[in-house]
Amino acid sequence: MHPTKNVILSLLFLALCASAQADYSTGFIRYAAEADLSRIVISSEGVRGVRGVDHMHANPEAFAAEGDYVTSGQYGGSKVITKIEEMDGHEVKTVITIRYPRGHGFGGALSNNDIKVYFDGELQLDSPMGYNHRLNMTVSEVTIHVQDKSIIAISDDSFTGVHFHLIEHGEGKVLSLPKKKTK
Amino acid sequence: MRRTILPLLFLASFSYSNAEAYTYLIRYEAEPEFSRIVINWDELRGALGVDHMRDNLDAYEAKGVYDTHLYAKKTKTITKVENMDGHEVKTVIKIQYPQATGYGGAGSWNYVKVYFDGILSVDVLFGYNHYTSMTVSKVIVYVDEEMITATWRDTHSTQEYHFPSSHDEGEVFRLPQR
Repeated sequence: MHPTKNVILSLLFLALCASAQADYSTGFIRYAAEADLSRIVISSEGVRGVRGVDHMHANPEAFAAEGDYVTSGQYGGSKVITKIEEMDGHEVKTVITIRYPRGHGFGGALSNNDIKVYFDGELQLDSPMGYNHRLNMTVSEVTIHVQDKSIIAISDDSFTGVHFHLIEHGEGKVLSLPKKKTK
Repeated sequence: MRRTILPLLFLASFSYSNAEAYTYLIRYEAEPEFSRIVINWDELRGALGVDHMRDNLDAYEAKGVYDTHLYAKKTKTITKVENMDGHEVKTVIKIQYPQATGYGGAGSWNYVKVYFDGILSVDVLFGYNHYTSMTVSKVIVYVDEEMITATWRDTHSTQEYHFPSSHDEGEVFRLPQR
């Protein structure tokens, strides 16, 4: 083989390997009933990095049994999770619907999740959960304070939301908040 | 007349003493199976939960949950070091408890610093900060990915409260709000 061809093929191989090391992430919804503290916390969470993501995708049922429901890693279909807690004289029913990514465009690469909370049988909360492409918002946490009879939902728009800091790419930069304004 | 007024005053004093009980917590959680460390700030509401927390502070601290609203206590510094996936992650959480001397003195001032392999990578205010009028609610260190995310919100736009029985009278809490 011609030496130039050898070099080109090697470079193409290396370029392919570099592309294959893509960003590796998944999402999950965590449901945690904390009877001691009289509250139920539902949060939208993420896992990043090959080891953690592969571990989560390999054991979805085991994690679901602990209240962690994977929202990606499979295509099509949906899952409805219903949880009922009796706490401090109240019944709290939470219905979480996960619609897995469908890959048809317009946010189809992501799951589309909803949450409904019924407090003593009455619908009290009806909201998307996690990132919603159509609404361009992220509902990151819902907390039901049962004895206090209050519900808090935290939503981030695309501006305030989450700040990503890549240690490898940051070249020694520190993630400081609030960020300094740039001209 | 006096017999009527005195019981009414007595009852009125009890209705005022039924104040809203709440506190704020910082939770530190290392999740090696997901290769991540989560530091979270959130609210705890209701006398039952708050009293339970206050009665068991040491037990909760052993689990990595710290009450930030202990009035006039000395500043607490928590240092946690994790070795995960070939990296050392040191997290320093500082809680300056409320001093009630005005200008946001009713709230705590908290800070989080994260050193990734010995290098300072994150230096943020944590929880609600009166001075900057912002809330940094979550820092996640994705160790294997060598990445950190910090979530923040401003005070008005992104946290909504809903009281099913006492204030909101049958209204459903919907997001996005109209």
